[in-house]
Amino acid sequence: MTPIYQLVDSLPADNVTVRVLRALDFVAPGQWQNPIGFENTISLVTGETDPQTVFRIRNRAIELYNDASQGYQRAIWIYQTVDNTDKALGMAAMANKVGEKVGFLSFLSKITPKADKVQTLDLSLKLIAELIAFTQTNGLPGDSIGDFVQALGAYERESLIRMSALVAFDGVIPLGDNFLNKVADILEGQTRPQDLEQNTLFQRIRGMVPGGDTMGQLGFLTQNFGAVRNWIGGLVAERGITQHSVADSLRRFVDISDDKLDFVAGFLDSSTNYYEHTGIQSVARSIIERAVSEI
Amino acid sequence: MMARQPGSIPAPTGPVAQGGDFNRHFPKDGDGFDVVFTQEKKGFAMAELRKGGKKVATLSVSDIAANLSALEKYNRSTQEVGGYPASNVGSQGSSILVGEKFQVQVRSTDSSFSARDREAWLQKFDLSGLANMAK
Repeated sequence: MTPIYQLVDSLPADNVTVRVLRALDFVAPGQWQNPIGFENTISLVTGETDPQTVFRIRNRAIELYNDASQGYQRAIWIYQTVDNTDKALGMAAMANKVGEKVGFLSFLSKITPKADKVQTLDLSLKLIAELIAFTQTNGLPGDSIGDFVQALGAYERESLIRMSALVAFDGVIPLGDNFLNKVADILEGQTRPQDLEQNTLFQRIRGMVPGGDTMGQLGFLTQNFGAVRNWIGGLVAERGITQHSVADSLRRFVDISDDKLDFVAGFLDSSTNYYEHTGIQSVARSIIERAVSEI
Repeated sequence: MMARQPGSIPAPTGPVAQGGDFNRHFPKDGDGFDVVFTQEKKGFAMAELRKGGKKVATLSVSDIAANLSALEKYNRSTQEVGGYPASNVGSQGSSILVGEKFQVQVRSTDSSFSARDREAWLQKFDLSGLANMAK
């Protein structure tokens, strides 16, 4: 187990993940400041700068994270697992080496766009992963979709930018502006338990997905998507998240053309770890808020 | 805030309380404030205090049986709030120890929320209910 301070200390100040998240600032203006460094994060979250106080908060936070029964380690594992499933080997490293602007065309031959059904399942499974990580972090029952939906409405900072990225990079860019209807249609009409069985992400997190057997888990996936759909629709409408607006914002540092958006989705998938990056930040924030309340 | 004689408080015995059992002793919504629960773990519960949708403070109850080092500051404390030993936690937090077991803390997360506000909100918890629970 990597200690929480090390996870936070290792977060990069700038790489492709950080840049694409910054490109989403128009979705959640000013919400995400990329807090890095454990002591620095403690000060940001608690408003405390006295070294002794920060030290005491730090010790308590480390203690809480180290206790596996608290659920924080499991939440981090979920966030990491979501991002580790289909990384094209070496792509992230290559993409992170580039300077100001990523010459996107040089990656084209290495990217295979996902079929809509695979993309739909990945999006739905990432929503489930968020539900599980959220409940593990904050101590709610793992099948409480209602609590999760309510909490989504209060999401901010790291959590809000993560959900914005999910909507933009795993929804709008690969599936189009009409992605909510598309996902609902595919989930309800075209997906069989076997499709789920074949999904790499599902294979890794299935033990944590409520619902019993694969059929029940597919039902849970569909139910969860149905429950969060309104919230996503609201975010999309309120912030004007479209293929056009997201692609436009990404163009600041990736050379992309509109007829290659499938490939852009694949590129983002293989070269970023936004779930892990912001997931570590969300979990750290929760632990720190608790630690300062307990010292 | 009242004066208090410093003195040793016995460490709590017995099992650590469930966080969910703290919830009903939290302050209620009102006067433009909303209390939104955010964390509920063994020995700990936490809520955000929001005014007009904006987070201004955090409210929490923790069982110090799960973290005995928290007791020290109350032994040294020379202040009371609501009849309970009181202490600052850093520069943004105010806390009291109820029933020699439950630490109640209010922390400012917005500069508009002062130390006096914290003291007032500490007393909006159902402190006698928590004290009974500690028995």
